[in-house]
Amino acid sequence: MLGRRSPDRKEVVAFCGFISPWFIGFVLFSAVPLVISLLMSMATFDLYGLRNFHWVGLAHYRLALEDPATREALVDTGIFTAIFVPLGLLVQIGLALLVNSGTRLRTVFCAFFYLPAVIPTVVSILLIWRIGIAGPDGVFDRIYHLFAPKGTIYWLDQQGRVMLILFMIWSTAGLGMLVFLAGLQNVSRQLREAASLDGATGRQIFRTITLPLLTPVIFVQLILGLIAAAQMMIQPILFGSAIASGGSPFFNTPAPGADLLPAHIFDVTFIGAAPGTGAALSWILFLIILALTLALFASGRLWVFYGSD
Amino acid sequence: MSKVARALILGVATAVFVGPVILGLGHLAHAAWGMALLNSLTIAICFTVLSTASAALAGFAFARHRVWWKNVLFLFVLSTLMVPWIVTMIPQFVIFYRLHLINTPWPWVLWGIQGTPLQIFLFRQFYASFPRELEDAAAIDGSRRLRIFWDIFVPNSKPVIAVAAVWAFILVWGDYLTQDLFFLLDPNGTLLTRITDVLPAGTGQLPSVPLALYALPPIVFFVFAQRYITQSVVTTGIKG
Amino acid sequence: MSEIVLSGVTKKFPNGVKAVDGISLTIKDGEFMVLVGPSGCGKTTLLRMIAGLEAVDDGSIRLGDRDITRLEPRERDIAMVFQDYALYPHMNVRDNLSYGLRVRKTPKHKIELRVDEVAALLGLHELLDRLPAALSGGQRQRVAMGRAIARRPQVYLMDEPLSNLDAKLRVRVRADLARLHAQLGVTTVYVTHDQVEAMQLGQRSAVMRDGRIQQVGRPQTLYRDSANLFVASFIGSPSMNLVRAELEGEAVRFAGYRVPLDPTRRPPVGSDRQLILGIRPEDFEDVRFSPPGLPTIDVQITLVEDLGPEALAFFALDTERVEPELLGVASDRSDQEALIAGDRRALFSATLDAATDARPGAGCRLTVNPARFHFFSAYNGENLLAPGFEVSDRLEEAV
Repeated sequence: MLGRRSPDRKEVVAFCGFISPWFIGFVLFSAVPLVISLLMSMATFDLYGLRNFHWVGLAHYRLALEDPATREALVDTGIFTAIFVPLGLLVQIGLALLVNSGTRLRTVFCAFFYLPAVIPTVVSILLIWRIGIAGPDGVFDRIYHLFAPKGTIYWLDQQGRVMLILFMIWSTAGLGMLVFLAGLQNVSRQLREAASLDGATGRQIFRTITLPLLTPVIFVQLILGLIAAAQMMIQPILFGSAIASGGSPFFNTPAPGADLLPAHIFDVTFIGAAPGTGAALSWILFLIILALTLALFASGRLWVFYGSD
Repeated sequence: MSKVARALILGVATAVFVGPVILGLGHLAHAAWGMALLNSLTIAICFTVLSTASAALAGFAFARHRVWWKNVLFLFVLSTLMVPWIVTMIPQFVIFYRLHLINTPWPWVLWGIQGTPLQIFLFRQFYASFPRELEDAAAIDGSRRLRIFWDIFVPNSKPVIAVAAVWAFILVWGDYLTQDLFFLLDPNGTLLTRITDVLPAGTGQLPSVPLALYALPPIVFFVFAQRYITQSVVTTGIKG
Repeated sequence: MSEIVLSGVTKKFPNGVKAVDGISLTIKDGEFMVLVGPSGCGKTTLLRMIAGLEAVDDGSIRLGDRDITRLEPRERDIAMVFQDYALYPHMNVRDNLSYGLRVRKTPKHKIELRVDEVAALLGLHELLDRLPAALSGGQRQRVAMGRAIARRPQVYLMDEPLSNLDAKLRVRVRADLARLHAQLGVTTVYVTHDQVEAMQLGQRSAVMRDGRIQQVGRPQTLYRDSANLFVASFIGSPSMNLVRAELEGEAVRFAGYRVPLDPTRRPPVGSDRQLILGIRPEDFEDVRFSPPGLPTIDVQITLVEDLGPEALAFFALDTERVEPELLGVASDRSDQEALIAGDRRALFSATLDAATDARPGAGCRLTVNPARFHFFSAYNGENLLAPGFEVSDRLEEAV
């Protein structure tokens, strides 16, 4: 980063100028609300009026952690993340490997797998999944009836968590696949050829060459996946909202196992009209994410290979 | 035929052909879905334009300026990814509510000015790959920073701008929760909220007109942006 | 036995172009064979086909007593040194060297032994724990070679391994390669576009063009008895001088000169009288410095380059240049011609003793050596000297 000119004042001024739009926004809409949120988490007040302001210190935190609903949400989120993130990664890598080998149909398959990501979440969930796949007479039902013609499973109500996991993998696989494809391209063909000449079988090449060189990409995707999984708010709501309301978040009845923390927070804040508790819960979530991310970063030194550039 | 006569005839023809369409659209504004569509388009366009511009500026700064603490600041940019939306959403809702900015496009305007971390990241990576000689040549020619940015970097970054813009547009267009929340008491709402209001739960009729209206703008935008994207391959340093 | 026999090996690209066109070649056990030619001539493709990295469309490849045409690369017992070295970036030098042994489940103590051997041979001991990113270009090259040697394969394949090194290092490594080959005696196929390398390294070289072999032979043979115009102008730097000439009894006439022929080196009696004469720049000399008895010509010097140990003098002949198509892309003369725009005369170059007093604009008397003349057909560019005159057969030569 040593330039030929030492950083002079003009440079600094210009720099500040360029980032001013972002910076102003950052302060106003990230930094300040963050602080306010912290303050809110330690008080009770009216959601819509900001009246009746009472300081309660850490009461919200204590109550929230003792609340069984919170525990349930935490457990749900934890299980969901623990299953979705690794499974999603496997699917993404698998798809990338699949698409990488065939040459001509490659772009076609890329488009296919990427399609779900392009469809807006609302339409995906409400139209495609709730009605077409998981609803009565949907795809799942028909497959299930091949094996157990007499039984019925109410997929949304009884297998809410599974639905959520499947949906998220389905909708994010395409994008992840593209990222891994780019990563695979970075593992130069020559290296694999050299390994092949050295006597390695396809599986050995994958294990000893391709995979280690993909670890940077895996690392990034792992962190991004974790962050995304822990922040999923709209999807559980859409899956859980009462049928009649057609998905309005104000009628949220989450299926068992699918009450993820962000959705739960939304419930508490806007439906339960307890913004203080909601703020406290959101901070708990934030801190958990932060801790996990830092842990992942620390572990990264052990297993990620950082390339020469 | 004289120039004046030609201009006159062209004007009349335009009025005949385009006029009714505009009038018809005007009717649409009063129709059930018109306002909703307008709201959706407004917030989407405002956010897209503003966020792309802001991110381009910030990305350029992070990529090219030689200020030692810029990397620290960049960490802040990335950290905003980590903060769950819900954490800042509650206070923002309260603030906007108190400022009477609910049911207006203003939240999106202000969010647009901030840009998004992923866009900034995209621009930064792209601009970092420009050869230093371009800047030096322009600097010797006497241009100031902003001019250099506008004259040299921007014209060469059309594909990245297209990608960033499409990304921002899709982000806003499909962001159901935020729209539902921040247009809380507006009977018109946005197209998306209105659609989900009437979306039937069981098999039945689909509100096809609004769905078509909803599906159209992103497709149009995407097709338009495609041309810029396919002009060059947008890969950040991928070697074969 | 690790003799390689290529028979009619062909590779076609989807657009119909033949990258490798029916090549037949025998590389003897322990021989150092160089495939040399301009870019796009198919030498690298051919090498990769021997390695198994490209499919063979037609023909066969035999290694020893096995037909390896359809075998996977790892089954061929061949090692390759890539142009970019292709070292595994996430493994240190020791692991890079031992990779081939590890994937074949060689016992640990044997691996250690082998790695030590190779490290000693190539001077890699201090580098064993380093990652490739921490090595210089020359060091990486040695590791790449070490990786090939460690496996004790039947054949080494090398794809322009010296092209990424700076000039001085290249000279040193070239000598090392020759020494290694003398010591290890493994059959080696070496690809390069640099004819100097080919001449210095190869026991035999195959000059290729457009997917076909133009000539195979020892360096001296390629130099002294080039099989056609392409080989003649590709081998040797500066390029061979070419001019249209006419046989006249016991002499040859070109550009107003008449030079007597050497009776042991002249076209057969029934040959066409019109032909193309080739004289290498090294076969001219300033009359003051050459042995007596050689025929001379008087020329007008246009340019002299002082190269230190010798001088490169250019002079124009009063006749048209030989058309580039017959030369292919081999000659370096086309650049010269571009600079001296408008002059369509043939331009000759001669390497003279540094003490020559040839000056631009002045006349000079040069000797020529008819015993080194090349005669090529004006129709198809082939060497006119019949096999009876100890010129190599086009494709093979008894060593």
